Amino acid sequence: MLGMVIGVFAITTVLSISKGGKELILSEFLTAGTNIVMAFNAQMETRTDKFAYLTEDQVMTMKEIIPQVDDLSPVHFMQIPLKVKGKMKQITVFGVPENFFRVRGIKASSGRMFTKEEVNRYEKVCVVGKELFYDLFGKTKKLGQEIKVEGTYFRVIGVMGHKMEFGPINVNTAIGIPSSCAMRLLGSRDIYAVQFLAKEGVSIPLLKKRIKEHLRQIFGGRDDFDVHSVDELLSMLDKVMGIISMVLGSIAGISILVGGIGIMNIMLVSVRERTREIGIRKACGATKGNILLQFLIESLILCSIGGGMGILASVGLVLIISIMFKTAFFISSLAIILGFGFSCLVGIFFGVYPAYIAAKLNPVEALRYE
Amino acid sequence: MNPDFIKLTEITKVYPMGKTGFPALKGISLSIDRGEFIAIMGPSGSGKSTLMNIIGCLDSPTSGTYLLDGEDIGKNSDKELTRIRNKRIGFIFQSFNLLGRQSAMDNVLLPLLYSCTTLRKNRKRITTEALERVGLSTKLRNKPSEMSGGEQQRVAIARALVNNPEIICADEPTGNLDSQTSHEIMEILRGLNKKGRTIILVTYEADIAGYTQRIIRMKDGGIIKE
Repeated sequence: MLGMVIGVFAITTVLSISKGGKELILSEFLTAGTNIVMAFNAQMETRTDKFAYLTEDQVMTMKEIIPQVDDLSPVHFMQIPLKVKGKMKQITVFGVPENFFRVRGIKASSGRMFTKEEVNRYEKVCVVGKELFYDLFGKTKKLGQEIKVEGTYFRVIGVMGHKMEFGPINVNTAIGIPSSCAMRLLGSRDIYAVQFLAKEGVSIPLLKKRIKEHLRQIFGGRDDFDVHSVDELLSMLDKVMGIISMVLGSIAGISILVGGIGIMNIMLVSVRERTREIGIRKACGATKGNILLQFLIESLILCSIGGGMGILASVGLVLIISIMFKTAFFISSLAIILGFGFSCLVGIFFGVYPAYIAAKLNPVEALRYE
Repeated sequence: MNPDFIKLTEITKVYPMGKTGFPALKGISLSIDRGEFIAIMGPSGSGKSTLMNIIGCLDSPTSGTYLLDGEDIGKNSDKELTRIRNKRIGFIFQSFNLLGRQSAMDNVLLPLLYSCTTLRKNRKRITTEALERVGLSTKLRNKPSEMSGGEQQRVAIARALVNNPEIICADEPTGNLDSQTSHEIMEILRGLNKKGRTIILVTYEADIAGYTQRIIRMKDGGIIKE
């Protein structure tokens, strides 16, 4: 019975979460666009001191050399200490031209992103990731505050809408400033990352290959830059999800099997205890079919109760998860049908043998049974 | 028409036991007319219960022929035997054999459920009538554990009657009852016989057998005296 509960619980939960999670991620990717490629310094993540970098000219010519590129945007980086919720934290500040937001697919959730004129005029304005904005200013959503970056005050003019983390910057917790200001603050024009937007209908792997080849040429055959796309993240996530589903699914399968055997034992004991009852029923005119059906239904009921409890537990867990992660995970009806159907199937499968034993009993012997 | 309602010819029954098996019945030939009230007597192990089980279609003989109303029972399938048990035969047992978790009503209802011919709306009326006939109209909802032995046996009789069978097989129906109650039960059975039912009673008590019209004495699997 417990095995049944655990098994159905696992099946329903796994199905719901993997389906709900997948849909969640997919919807995010759809808004992010799967046609984004990012190239960034390979040493960025290892944080060694000697960085390979690109110049502005090198970046801009890539747009002409690689025909699959619709648009691109260089990205400058720095880390600044900032007091967030009373604690000092390292916050990523990225300096970009105004087209970055289009290339990356970022929309303002409030206020606006900066313009070309503001970039050209070295305007001290900034846009803040949604998460960081809430952490800094609370949910009052008041723009116009100022943030101090390397001794310069930047006025917040917009909040960036939520975007999935991709590449070295998580825009949700970062600050964006005009590239002109960033270069002035950094005192360098070095470019450590480039964001590409592929042309409509272009094969992303092909574009990645072209970018990689071009960068290798620039760096004399060395792969100093990594090139990543959103869709490879997607396929990786898919793989991970698949593995999780498989592991939990096999656990579910085993526990349902064990539960089924347990139910078979319960039914066998029940048949033995009720031998006399079976004899009475047979004497009163119950056919083999009547008895078989009676015990099958009983085993089915046992399994359904187990399955129902499993589904209830799973609904509870999924609700808790969706509250905890503030995302709309939902129990899929497919998961419920599958989980419940499976438990009923197991009930019938493991109920047949005990029911057959009961139906086969000789009425005379059954009546004599003490 | 066949004059014999129940006709047994050279019936044997061997229970598988050891190498040769245990012969419980050794060639029984017996005729019972419609409407007879017959007692089968004998010491324990004489084969009287086995004989009654064969007559009641609960068991089938190893050899010999059994004609019930001209129909050869030996040729019937398990399903047909079940149907005969359900429609034509009612059983009363020494240990009552009621379903302990169900009320008197539900116990009596059982044969009706399996016969599938009675309309749902009529079932309640028929079971109530059957219980009224044995004087239990006030205990319809009682469970067997809440009733005395005599009352339980009367529920069993009501159950045996509910499908209006022609034959009632009673296997030591008074074996677990005191003599006062035993006589009450036997009066009910005598009343049923007067209404035309064939009753076959297995007992070892001489005064109980005294209620019947005909006594068959058995010993070691054979009939020794009629």
